Amino acid sequence: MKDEPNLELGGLMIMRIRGITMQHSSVKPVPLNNLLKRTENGKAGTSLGSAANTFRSIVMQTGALHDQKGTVYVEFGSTKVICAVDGPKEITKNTDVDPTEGQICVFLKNISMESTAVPGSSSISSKENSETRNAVESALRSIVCLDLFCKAQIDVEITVLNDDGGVLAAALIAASLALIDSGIQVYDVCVAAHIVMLADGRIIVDPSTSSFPFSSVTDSEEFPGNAHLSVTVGMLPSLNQLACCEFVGIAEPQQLRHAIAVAIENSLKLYPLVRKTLMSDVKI
Amino acid sequence: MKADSNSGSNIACSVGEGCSKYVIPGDRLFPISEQLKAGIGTYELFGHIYASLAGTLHMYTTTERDKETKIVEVRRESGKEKRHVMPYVGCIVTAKVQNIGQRFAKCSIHCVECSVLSHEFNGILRKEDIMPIEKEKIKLEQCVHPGDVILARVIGFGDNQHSYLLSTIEDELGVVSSVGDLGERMVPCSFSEVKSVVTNAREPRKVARIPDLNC
Repeated sequence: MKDEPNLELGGLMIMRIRGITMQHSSVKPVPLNNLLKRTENGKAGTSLGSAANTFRSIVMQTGALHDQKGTVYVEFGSTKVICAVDGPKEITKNTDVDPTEGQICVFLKNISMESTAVPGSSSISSKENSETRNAVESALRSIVCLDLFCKAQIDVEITVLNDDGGVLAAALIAASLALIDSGIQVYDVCVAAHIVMLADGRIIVDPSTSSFPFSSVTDSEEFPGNAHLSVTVGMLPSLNQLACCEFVGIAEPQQLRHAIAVAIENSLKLYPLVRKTLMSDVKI
Repeated sequence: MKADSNSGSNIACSVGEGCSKYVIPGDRLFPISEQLKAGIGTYELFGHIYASLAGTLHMYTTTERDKETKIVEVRRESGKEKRHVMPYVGCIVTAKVQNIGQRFAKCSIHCVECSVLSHEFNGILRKEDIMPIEKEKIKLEQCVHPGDVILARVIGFGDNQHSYLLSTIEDELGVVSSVGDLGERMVPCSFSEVKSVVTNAREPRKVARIPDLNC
């Protein structure tokens, strides 16, 4: 990880590192029972801690639309996301694409934003949607075995029914589950977590927007002094690799490393729930 | 039975026949060895075989050069469900002719072998890939017509187009059903003609030589 800007700069730094797939020999895959054991220990640890270190109530359900394969509903507290996968099908865009690999197209739709559409805020929300869509598409390119779908296109349609923070994490989990449910071959499932590090160093796991309002800042000069850091990571648990790492805010390099490590640790806690969601498909 | 090298891992399957364990993508199945091969729904990475599909684990044995090899596969839970199929070079596809030109006919691919595609793919049937002999004397309109259902083999990819090159040179490939001028169905009545079921009119076609089709 490269050095991050110092606090002395006083400027707004929004940095995004997407689709990181490290092929170093030092990065080794984690055995499955170690993953399950670690998460169990993690759960025991979080029960002793405060409520700020736990996730909101989570619902993951496959076959959300008319028992159609490839549709997933994910709920993080008040954040509700539906994802549908269509494909593989023929490439619709006539762009200069790589002929040996498949293409992934992500369509993101935020319904909760549209209902309260204000002329001033619509540009901000569309920009945020575009950034989230790009982050999800970049992460999915790392997850899907694209070499099996040459000259084909996989459409991933994500609909945000309600936005209360952590949309990117919920969208990553929903898209990953939808791809697996539709039978598309992927390298690993994707678990994601969203955390916020306050100015005093405390970390809130999976915060909601109503509890910790994180205003969108368009001008760096207006950045508030008591700003906090927002980190979202998408993780391939078995391969122990990052698919998405996105943070907004100002932080010291060591603070950022600590925040990312905590986000990764918390995302791995979701692995048993993701596995249970896929296992429940057997009973259908 | 050979014990798995991960002695502490009670979740990983031991090598053996009839192991029906449900796996999800990312599950580490077996270490890579000379006796094991990664089949459908699996991939190899970091010295291990991983699952890339959510389904049940299957293993079967094949013999290559007097050497027994076990192939690891992950198949979808529902037996009726077909996995995602896409046209590949060498497969037999069922296509419908959309329009014809001077040098090629545009088709839409609907089936690959016995599986119906969820989305159509475009294919191109060139004039020189229709008949095995006398390529310069072939008239395309005497071989296929728009609306025909044909059996063809994928022989490659088209340049600068997202389409597949089709071929009906083999005897078993060609037209299996056709549409007449009145919109009625025309069935094959010989190896080079189709006949209308209503008006009994005959038209020349490159008919697929399928025994059941010509009864």
